[in-house]
Amino acid sequence: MKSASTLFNIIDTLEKKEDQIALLALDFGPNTKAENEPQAEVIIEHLFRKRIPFALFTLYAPGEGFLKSIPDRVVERLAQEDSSYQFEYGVDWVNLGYRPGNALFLQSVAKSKDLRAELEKDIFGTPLKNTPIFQRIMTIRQVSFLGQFTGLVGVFDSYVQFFQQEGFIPTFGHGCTSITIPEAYIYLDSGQLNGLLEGIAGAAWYSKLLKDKYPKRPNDKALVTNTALGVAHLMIIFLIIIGNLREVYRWYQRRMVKEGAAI
Amino acid sequence: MGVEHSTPGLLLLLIAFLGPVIVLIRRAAAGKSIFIRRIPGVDAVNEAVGRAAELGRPISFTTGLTSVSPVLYACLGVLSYVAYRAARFRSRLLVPQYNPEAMAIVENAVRDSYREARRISAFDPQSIMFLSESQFAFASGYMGLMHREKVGSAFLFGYFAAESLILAEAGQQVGAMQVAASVSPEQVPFFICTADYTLIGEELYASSAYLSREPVQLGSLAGQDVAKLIFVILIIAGVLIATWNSVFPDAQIINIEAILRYQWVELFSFFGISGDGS
Amino acid sequence: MKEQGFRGRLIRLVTFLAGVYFFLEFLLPKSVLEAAGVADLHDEISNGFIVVGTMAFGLGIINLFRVHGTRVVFRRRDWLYSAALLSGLVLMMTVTGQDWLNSLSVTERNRECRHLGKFAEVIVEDSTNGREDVPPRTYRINKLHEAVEVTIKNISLEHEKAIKTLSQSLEEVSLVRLQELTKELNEAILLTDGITADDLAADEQILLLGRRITEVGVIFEKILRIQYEHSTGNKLYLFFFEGLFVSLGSAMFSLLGVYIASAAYRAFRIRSVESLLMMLAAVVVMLGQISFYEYVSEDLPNIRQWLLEVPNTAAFRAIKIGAMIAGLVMAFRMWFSIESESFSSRRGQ
Repeated sequence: MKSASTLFNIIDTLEKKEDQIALLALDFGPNTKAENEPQAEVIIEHLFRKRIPFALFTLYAPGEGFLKSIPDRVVERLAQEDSSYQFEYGVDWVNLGYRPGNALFLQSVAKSKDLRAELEKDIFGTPLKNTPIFQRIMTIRQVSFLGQFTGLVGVFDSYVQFFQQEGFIPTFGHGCTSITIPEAYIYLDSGQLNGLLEGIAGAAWYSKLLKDKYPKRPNDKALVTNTALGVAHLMIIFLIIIGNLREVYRWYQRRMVKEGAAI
Repeated sequence: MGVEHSTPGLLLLLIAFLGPVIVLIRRAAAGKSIFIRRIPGVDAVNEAVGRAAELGRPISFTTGLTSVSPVLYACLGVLSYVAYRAARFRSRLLVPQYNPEAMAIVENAVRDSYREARRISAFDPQSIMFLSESQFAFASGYMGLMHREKVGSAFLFGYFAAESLILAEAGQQVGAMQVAASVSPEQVPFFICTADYTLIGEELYASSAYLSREPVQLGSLAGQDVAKLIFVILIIAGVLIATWNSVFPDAQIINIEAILRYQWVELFSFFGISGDGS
Repeated sequence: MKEQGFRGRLIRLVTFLAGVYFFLEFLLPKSVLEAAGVADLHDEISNGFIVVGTMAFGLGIINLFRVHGTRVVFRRRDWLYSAALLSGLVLMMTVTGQDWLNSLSVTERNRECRHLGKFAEVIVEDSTNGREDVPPRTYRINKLHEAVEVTIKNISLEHEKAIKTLSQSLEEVSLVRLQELTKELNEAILLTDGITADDLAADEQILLLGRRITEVGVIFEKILRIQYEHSTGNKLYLFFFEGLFVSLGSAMFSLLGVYIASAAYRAFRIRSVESLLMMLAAVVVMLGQISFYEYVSEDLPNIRQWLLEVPNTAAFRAIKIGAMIAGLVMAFRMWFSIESESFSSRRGQ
């Protein structure tokens, strides 16, 4: 899957720098968790493996729980895989929690001259200027990667529109649900989006690429879910064919009756 | 590269898009006629109302997840028309609601239509019912309503999200004739599969403007068409210039994107004004 | 529907002024905004608007209590469902509020230690600058040392309590981590205790004390974080959020799968050339996305890619442009409060 491979290469070539950070927006809730959660998980895992520090936030209140559960789960899984994978909250990642305001919030962050003052605290109330991860982060020009995962309509557009400064647009990766893939493609084509995870299939492909690069990595649920989804797709196609065959059969029957009546 | 503030080009574009809208709204408000072609969706609306009246079954009209916004007012144009005809044919009209603020406006619109049809005594405020502000709770309530009332015709106009298929499928299950119009293009395929007639994209606004003849909607719609025409001209010009530049690289013409990115400072210096105004 | 009178005019005026600010902020160049002093205030102004928007949460909750509370109080139809809704709301608010307070308490001691560390820096700074409007240096040093001793004592007591509660309930990985942190904390406390009041005559020793107490705070926060993650409050929150809310939401959403299957069998009929093309495109895209496409054709993903990149992009871009223009006009109408009037006076055919 070309778009997922592109996104994989983007993150794989990122380098850990003291004055750079990745920002991830998990703007999804329980409704689209089945597709967006595996996407967020594979990206977070890749960032952890590359030791790229990142900050998580969400513009969607029901998504706040995922900001905590996903990195905790990934940290635990990586520690079980290899004991050298030790990560520390505040150094490797930080949870900024739910941020109200949608487009207004994004605009404020984009225009801010001091992100630590703008974002203020993390979810535990720790001032960001006291967290190691945000020590040298001042503006969005130091955001090496922006990842946004959502199933909501209209949220992703706000990032494309507002999360930029004069002469600077961050590298942007997006994880969408299958229904919004056609809409995301127009931004991928125009270069406003650098990489895309197309539903659960994108997450599964990314997971496969991670497995190829890190052979000790166990298979995760993205691959399993995608296989199950494949079976469901075949089922739907089968039902469509059956439904149309039934129509053809009925048409044939009606025609036979007509011809019989004519005779 | 990023754009943080407007450039002179963007400002001109804004004026070019909004100017016709303002002019045409004023023309419509002054009573001058603005041509909107009759769209096939209008016939479907009439047919659906007539069918419900013949079957003696109620009509349902839902605005989905629409909150108080211009989209709601577009839906109200069609709702007023449907309510008027329902009142004339003495059919029951059910209007399940998602948003409490929109509910008050919807109630007024339906009451006005009944009054205009001289059937104000038949207007039942209980027919405009608040179901839930939660997406799927609303969908569940709507499904129950459709099955209990055995609705004859269902109108789904407005903003819908993932619950659109559930709503339309409920109508299918009770054999209702369904006319649907969604402002979000993602839901259109679901409505096409399950509704008898689907208005795509701006046909919602067009049908509302056509039926209501309301000047703001008429002017907005006509103005948007002019804006789209300007866009098409810009696209064609941009494509031609880009093609010329790639075929004749030695005779490059400045493209539209570059013109739009021309900054205020550059414009001032062009006219001999420095950045500080001197 | 037009709001008449003073109230209506006030609403229209406020709406217009709010819109004017953002319009001018976008329109005017950065240099003009900086000269006007607006650039520095933009963050505060935006935060003000965000606060106003967030009031909608409060309005929503008030509305819920009003609508469903009346039903419960007057025992109207289906009042039991309203009671269930309100109980769920209150319960979730309580659990989440408690969890939030617990999470804040994780950083409390660290904040205290950071303040002490900062105080140490301020003592040295004031002393170097010869500041006179502050208490004497020795007095401040003694107060710092006392505060550090009290903080260390409190941290040690809380640490002991935390270890007692956690040792039984932690799994191996977390237990190992806890033991490592305990060792680090004990070392840090020992080093901090090692600096006596007499040692604090020199500036370097004061700064060293500040750094050491800050470090104690950082390590203790990590221990408290482990405690918080295994606390009843957090587990209760996760039970309600992941166990109930997420599961129920996902279950409702998955109903769509059932309806898709029913619609696929009943409604996806090929009745014309256009519907045949649509069906073929749908089948190709679906097959190109599944993990075992190679059993059908190796080229499926490429065909899918082409369909999405070329015809789909063209069509969707057109729809998007139309939608954006409509959005622009809508925003303009809302800014100038150009609302639709009553519909009943003009009736079309």
